[in-house]
Amino acid sequence: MIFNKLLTFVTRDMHIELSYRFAFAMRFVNILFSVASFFFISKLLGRSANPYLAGYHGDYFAFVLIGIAMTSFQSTGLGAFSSSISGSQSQGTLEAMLVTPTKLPVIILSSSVWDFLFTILNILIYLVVGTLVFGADLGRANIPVALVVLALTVLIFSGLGIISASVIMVLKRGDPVSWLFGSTSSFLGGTYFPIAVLPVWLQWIAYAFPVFYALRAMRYAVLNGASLSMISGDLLALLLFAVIIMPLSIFAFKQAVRIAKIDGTLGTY
Amino acid sequence: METSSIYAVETKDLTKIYMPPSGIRKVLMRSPVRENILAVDSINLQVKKGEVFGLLGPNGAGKTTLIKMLTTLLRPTSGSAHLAGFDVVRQEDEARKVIGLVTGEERSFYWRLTGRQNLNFFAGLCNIKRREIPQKIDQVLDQVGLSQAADNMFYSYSSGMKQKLSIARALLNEPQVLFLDEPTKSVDVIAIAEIKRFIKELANGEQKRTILLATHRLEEAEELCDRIAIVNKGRIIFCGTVGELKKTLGGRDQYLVVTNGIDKAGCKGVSDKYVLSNTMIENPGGNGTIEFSFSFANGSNPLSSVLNDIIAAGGTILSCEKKERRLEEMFIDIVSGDRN
Repeated sequence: MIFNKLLTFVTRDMHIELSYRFAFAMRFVNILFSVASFFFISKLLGRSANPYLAGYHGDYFAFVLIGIAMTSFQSTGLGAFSSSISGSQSQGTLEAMLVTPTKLPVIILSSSVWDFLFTILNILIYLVVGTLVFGADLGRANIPVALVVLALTVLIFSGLGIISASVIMVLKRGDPVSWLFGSTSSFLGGTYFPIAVLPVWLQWIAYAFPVFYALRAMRYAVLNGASLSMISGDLLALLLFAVIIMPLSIFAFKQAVRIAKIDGTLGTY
Repeated sequence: METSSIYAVETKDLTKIYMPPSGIRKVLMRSPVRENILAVDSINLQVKKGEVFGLLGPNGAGKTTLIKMLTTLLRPTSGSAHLAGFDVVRQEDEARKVIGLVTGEERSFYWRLTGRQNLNFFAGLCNIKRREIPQKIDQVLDQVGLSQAADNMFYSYSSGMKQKLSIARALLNEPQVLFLDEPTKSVDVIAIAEIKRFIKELANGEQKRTILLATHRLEEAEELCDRIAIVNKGRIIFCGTVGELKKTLGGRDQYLVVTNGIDKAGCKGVSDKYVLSNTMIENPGGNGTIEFSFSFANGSNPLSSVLNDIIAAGGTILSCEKKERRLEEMFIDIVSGDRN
């Protein structure tokens, strides 16, 4: 039954996405330009970035490709749930969904599936273009370990995304969770550069953000072919974040639904 | 899903108070609610299975709040409500399986999808088996007469078509209780006639659905509903059949007597003698013809005496017409009376 519901939502979102055909095509053109830009930046940096990238075989282009891929998952996890809520509220479809026998958590989770699938498609194109067209070296990748890191990352950022959706459900706009994790983590987490280039006190702050561990673990897994035991410290940190964030997100969401149902603002935006 | 309750909808002291936000929410958001608003006040309602029940009331009376509580979209402050025996708070999942909701709101669909794609999506949410969905969609589209336009984008639909699709959606899960919240709000007279026809078909069909119709259109309620409740300021101020409403307020039918040969003072004398209420005496053409309009107090009807006295005073009766009170007039009377 749940699979049917997921399929129902994915079909809906795919039809809507494909109804904007030009925008759909432009996304992929943008990926090409983005990958090409980072390729030439990496050429510009050349060997000068090597001291900071020694742990990653000194290849800035491959380093940044992984950073972009993981940041995309983070953005999707953080934004998909709240945009699903606010989108349904502004389109007026949320109440229509809520009078059906489908529970609200199923609606919210299913609404984000297309975003995750679309992100995976984007990332695959990033990686395929990066490796086949621009020659990024991902040959050492330990795929099973990378998938474990990815699963934990998606879990953590989905939890944060559900907290963000809870805030949106009650306050309608202005979401501190996405702001905190979205805007700071690409800087502090090391999406575009290793955090070793940051002042030490900023590096300490970076340790408080899960994206730092996710990026480091993923890069070790993909660029160095690290095994689970080699990145066990990062995995433990990610697991700890997941154990704290997931129950918190479920609690926040239940409270938000309760408040919105009492206030009568479930369908307003 | 059937339960033993004889009522499709039953509420006990159902109350909703909107309260202003407190604590941190008061600082972070501006709410339209500045003080406690009593939107629904201890409503007791019993709607039998298969009944078409009308909810009438002026704007802001509490009709939509009541429907939102009954459809699980809004949590009551106190009291209880049951749909086909299921508590709308404690058994909201079960309650949602037996309801369908049609609102006058056009925005409840995906505008970039076709009518059929929209129904396909909502059918999935109604737990209809995937293999049965196409057939079910064809059936409801046919029922509302939208089969020809099913594969057009929703944004290309007229207001009437959008409303028909909304009805089609509400029928997907074959609801026991169908809530219609001002279904004819923004549609033309032809679409209104069609929507009324659907409602009659649904009420008289094999499944005898219970229909709760909230409307401003009084003639709609008179035509379609077995019983009505008039809601004002969150309270039910009348509940019964339209006939009972007429009986309650019915002693005050208006009479219009057109006469000549008697002046306004003569008519006034007659009016004073019989203590006639709602009296209007007009001389529309200024040619001696008087229009004498009046009604009697409840229970009395001295019409013959009034006419005899007009004749005795030298007047000639040109016509005498009884104007039965329209539901609209009774509605205004009862709501105004409640306000006063």
